[in-house]
Amino acid sequence: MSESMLAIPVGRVLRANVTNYVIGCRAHKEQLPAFGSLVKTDANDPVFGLVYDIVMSDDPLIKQLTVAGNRVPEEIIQDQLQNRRLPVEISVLAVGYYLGGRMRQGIPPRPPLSLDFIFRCDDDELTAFTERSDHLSLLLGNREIPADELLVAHLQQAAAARPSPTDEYFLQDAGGELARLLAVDMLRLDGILRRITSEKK
Amino acid sequence: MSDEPNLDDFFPPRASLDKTPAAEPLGIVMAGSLSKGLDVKLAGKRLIEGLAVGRYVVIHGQGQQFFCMINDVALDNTNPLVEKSPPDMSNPILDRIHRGATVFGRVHVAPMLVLDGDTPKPVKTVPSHFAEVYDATEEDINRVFGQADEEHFWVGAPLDMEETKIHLNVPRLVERSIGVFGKSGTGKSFLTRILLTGVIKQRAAVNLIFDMHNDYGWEIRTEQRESVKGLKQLFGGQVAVATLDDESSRRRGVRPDFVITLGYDEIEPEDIAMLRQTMDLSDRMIDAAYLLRRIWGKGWIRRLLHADGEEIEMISGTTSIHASTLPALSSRLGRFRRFDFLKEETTDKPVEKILEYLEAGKSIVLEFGRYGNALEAYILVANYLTRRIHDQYVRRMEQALGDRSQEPRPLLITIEEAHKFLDPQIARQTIFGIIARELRKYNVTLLVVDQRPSGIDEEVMSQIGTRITALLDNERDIQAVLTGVSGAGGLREVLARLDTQQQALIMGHAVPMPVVVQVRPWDAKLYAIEGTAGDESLTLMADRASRTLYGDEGFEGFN
Repeated sequence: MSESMLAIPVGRVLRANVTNYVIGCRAHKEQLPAFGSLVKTDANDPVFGLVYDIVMSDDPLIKQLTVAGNRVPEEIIQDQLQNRRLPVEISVLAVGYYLGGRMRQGIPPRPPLSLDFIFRCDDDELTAFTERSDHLSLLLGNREIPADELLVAHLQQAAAARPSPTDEYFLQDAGGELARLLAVDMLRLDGILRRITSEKK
Repeated sequence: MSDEPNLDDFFPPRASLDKTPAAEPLGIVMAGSLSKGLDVKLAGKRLIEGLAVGRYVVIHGQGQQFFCMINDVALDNTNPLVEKSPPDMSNPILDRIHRGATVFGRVHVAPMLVLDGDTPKPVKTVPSHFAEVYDATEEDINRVFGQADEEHFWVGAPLDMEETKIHLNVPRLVERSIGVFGKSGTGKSFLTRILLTGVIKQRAAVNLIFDMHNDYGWEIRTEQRESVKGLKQLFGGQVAVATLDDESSRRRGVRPDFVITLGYDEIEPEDIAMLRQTMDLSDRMIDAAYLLRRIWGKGWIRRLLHADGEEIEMISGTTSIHASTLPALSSRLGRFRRFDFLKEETTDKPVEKILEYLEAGKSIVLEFGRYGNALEAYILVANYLTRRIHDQYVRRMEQALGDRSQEPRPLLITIEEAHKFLDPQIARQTIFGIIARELRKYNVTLLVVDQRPSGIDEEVMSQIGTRITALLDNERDIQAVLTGVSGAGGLREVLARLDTQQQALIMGHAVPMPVVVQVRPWDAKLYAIEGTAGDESLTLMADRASRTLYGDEGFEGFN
């Protein structure tokens, strides 16, 4: 993703608590952050989070347009795509924060504020954030999100942000941490590890 | 902040240096106890196949370092399900993830000593959980086993540490009796030769070696049909070769320093009592021998061998000896006629001759030549000489009255097939049993070489100070060797897994802890480092060549 794209905010905070927050945006399809992406608030001490859900709600006009078939003029469709009345809602799991100039992993001491801008993290930030793997236990223990899929997507993106062969070392270290955390659940561990390493096989 | 250089930047505090080992830890302590040993979880990168029982590790505890020996290696996992449903290890990344995390190696180590200061101390506690474990370094080994000096002798290397040397404390070695054990073909003679080299080199004791198969004297034929040097070639005048079979010695190119002959008159009933099993002598025959000695005096064997039926009947009639006992005893002792070293009459005084050499600080290798295959000859001669030499030592020690300068030199007597001398049924009465039990009271100790340690009397085994054991696979033999050794359970595994040659487990008085050594080779390097013969040896070799060319006339004697 280009630097100019990264500089464009994904959207603004709609609502938030310390464990997760929701971003509202009108972004185009290609501007939407992917499932598993690392994002951050623009505050002095940003809160980092992983995108775990993207929701596009409907409104009465959308409902009418979907049943109108081919009779809807193209300019109206394009107008709806460009000027949505309802935002795309992106759910983010808070996994880290800055405190005292240091990047930390875990639940932030306070949530981001409404209307705070949210940006994607670049490869350097993603690499720096994933130098430690303390946040993995936050994901594994969360039963309200698709934790395993989020974990796989996040680790694959974090590996892709690194040059070869450090990407493999990263996966080994993260896999080792997962093996420690999931020592009692071999089937779950095996499923996750197979998927995070499938592209490296 | 000052820009001035800080001295600590250049010379870090010593404590921090000591606390930071250069090498990667091998693993961490997980659990265990002082009595049963400690379990160490191997680091993921560490190959379990690179670890062997008998190797040394050092555990860096919070306050002290523990020197330990690996005595078991095992596979472990964090979840037993992994055994039933193994992960896909064909994926190299998955393989690396699982090794060390899900599956890992576990080694069991026995804490042996605490490395605290220069002198290792007995271990009385255990390190705390998760203490880091490192491979023992050469420095650690030297702290435990000492460095080469006038007391320590290099015997080999620890397993997988070819460049590190294990040293034996030779004065301590000869302080008590020594046992060299191992099944047939594991290199007992070779081990014994190394030990004797140390004893002679360090002048810790003089040796009397009853050399059953000509393995120590001038030149030895190895199993690979190679000729290697014997002790005489290494130490020249410090070693004398005596023989019972001059013909065999000469055939092998050995010029013995003297030939030993024994007179029938000198043999006493006590000398043949040890042959009870070997020659199938009954209690009645032994009793008869004592009686004959009392009636006929010194020439009793000669007279019995020449006695006719009338004379035997007369003895049977006038004594309590049963009529059939004397012919049977005569027939058994008649086997002595095969031994040319036994003479009807001889003026030789072999005991005095041997003592003369020993007093001069010379060790003696007594070759048996072709009589090495006759066990009764070996037992008879060894018993005959040892009894008398021991008597002399007892007398001299008593005369010395504690004045060390008047005491005879410490003597180490080497016997092979030791279970024939130290069998539980006879060990209490025989001279070898007595010597083993009395420790060094009279400055005489034994070096027993045997392949069946289970056949040796238990009390005698308990008095053997240092045990050097090559591979043993008989359970009873292993049990016998480990009797009275603390932590024997772990050593049993070590002992049963030694290589078939050139590896030995050394434990006891001469080493601070049991040690498995790859015994140093008996080769030109050893000759050069340990041999003291130098020019003298060259003279001997020149002399041999001269005799080959000109016969004995040109020979004027040894040094």
